Amino acid sequence: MEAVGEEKGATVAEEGKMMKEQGEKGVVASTSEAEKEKMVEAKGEKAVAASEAEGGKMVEGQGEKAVATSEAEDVKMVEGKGEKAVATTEAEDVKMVEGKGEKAVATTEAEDVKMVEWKGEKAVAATEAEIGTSEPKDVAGGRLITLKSSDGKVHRASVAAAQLSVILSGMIEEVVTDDEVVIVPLVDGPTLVTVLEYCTKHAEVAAAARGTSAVAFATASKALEAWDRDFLDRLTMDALHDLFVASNFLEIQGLLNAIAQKAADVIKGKTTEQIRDAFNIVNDLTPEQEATAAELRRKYTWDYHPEA
Amino acid sequence: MDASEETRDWAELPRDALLAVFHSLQHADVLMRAGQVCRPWRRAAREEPELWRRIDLRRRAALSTSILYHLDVMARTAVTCSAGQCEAFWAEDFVDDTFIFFLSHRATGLRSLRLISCNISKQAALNEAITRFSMLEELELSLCSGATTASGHYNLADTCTAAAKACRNLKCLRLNKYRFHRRSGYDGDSEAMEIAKMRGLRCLQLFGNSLGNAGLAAILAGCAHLESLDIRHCFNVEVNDETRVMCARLQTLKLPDDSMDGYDLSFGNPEMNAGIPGLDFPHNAEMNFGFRGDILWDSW
Repeated sequence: MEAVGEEKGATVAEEGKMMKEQGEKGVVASTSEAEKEKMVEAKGEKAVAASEAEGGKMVEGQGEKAVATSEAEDVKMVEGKGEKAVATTEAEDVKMVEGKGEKAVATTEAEDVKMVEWKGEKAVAATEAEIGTSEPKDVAGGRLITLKSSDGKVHRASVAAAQLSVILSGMIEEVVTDDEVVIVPLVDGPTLVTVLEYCTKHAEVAAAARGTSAVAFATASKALEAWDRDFLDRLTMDALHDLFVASNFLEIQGLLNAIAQKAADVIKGKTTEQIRDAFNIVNDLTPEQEATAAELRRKYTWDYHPEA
Repeated sequence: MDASEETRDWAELPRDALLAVFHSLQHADVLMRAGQVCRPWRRAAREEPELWRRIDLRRRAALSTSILYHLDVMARTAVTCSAGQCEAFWAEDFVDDTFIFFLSHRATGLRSLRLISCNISKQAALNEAITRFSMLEELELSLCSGATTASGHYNLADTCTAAAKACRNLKCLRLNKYRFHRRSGYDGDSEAMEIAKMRGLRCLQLFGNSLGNAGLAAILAGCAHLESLDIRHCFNVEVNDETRVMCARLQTLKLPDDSMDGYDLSFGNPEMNAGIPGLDFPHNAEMNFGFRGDILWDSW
């Protein structure tokens, strides 16, 4: 216990190093089947050992088990997560989002894989830790799934995140072997990365909020709404359009509603012509339809304004 | 992120996605602006009755923009677009006899009807319209004005009779006046006696109503399922032990002297002097003091 306490005092620099190590491990796991199996098995063992009765001491419990584990790297990895669970603050959320932004700026195909992989692990760990039990090992990819976007790029994501999509959830149910790839038509690589970023965040928050008090849940929901707004505000209109079409096709209702609300906010307070400019839409109304529209505006408006 | 030079085509969004945007807008903005941007958006605005299941043209909803709209024309267009599938119609200010007739023939599936500050000159027209809304579950007739009865008071007892008979599913009723008036020699319980016939009522709001303790007792006896009652500013009701016992079974209760918190309509101070004519009542046109005033005065 004392050793665990001491390690909890690790500096931010060490935490950063730890996160990097996790990233590296992810890369290794994605290239080696044997390594992946080993990692999944290790997590499974810990999760099986934890009971729901120990829920309140979950983080501490993990620490103890970590001490007992002979493998040094496992110890550090679990320890890091424990600390995060204890010390999570809004600032860290901001930093995390910022970090993702940096990755997005420098994105290559390999980094796409690494980034999604890292988030996937986190989501899996959170789910298992909260539930206090592990899924059967025959679940596809040990709770990770491989998706191929319409442009041929491969993306790894957690099953929990992907299942926010009705379509992906159905596809995943048909996956038989761990190394089978789910093909996602009509959604290109950058758009799928953005979709998975949204889904991963929501899956993480849902897992973390499970079993918490009503007050904590309300706080988490409010923070998530703010995250959604920031998330959409970062996008160009073109990216927003692609995300909108993708969320409609993949049936991710929460994301669809959030984008619809943002589009509605763009429309409010604008004249018809201003709406066309905002969305880059050509006016293809026939002269008759245009005349009808003008007449409707005259009839609807007590104080006629030419721009109305 | 991959910077694509291709411009996205918002005009051809999938219909479901576009409808989600329209659902996030006020009906006025859909009709007046978004629905006139291009042909696909126009088709979506006009060909999807689903958009018009719930039409809300109350003052704060309809005037989200700075331009005043002619709400009557807009309302008729909206009801027409609903293609008979309108379930909720909420409006303020513009509803009159001709509109209520139009509504009763084009939206017979209504479940919720809320009319605020409407001007019905022929109450028989309103009563006839009510009988066509047999699916109604919620009805509001607040701050209404129109032809007064012989006693000089706008009374909705006959309308309540029609509603009780035709709307068997009615669960929520709001009949709010602008202000309470105390009158002598007037049967204030006539509306209450008809409300008592609405057996399935669960929620009742009667701001400024003239009912007394007898009317209240009739309502509580007739509406066995009543859960929520609001009789603020109903100053003919004397709150005593018997009243409290009768009301004990209610989940929510607001009594005549309770605070106005949460009440979202405009209201005036009560007129408590029974013997003085309500000079500020705008629709008491018959009270002409310049001609034969002596006779009118004697009648009070």
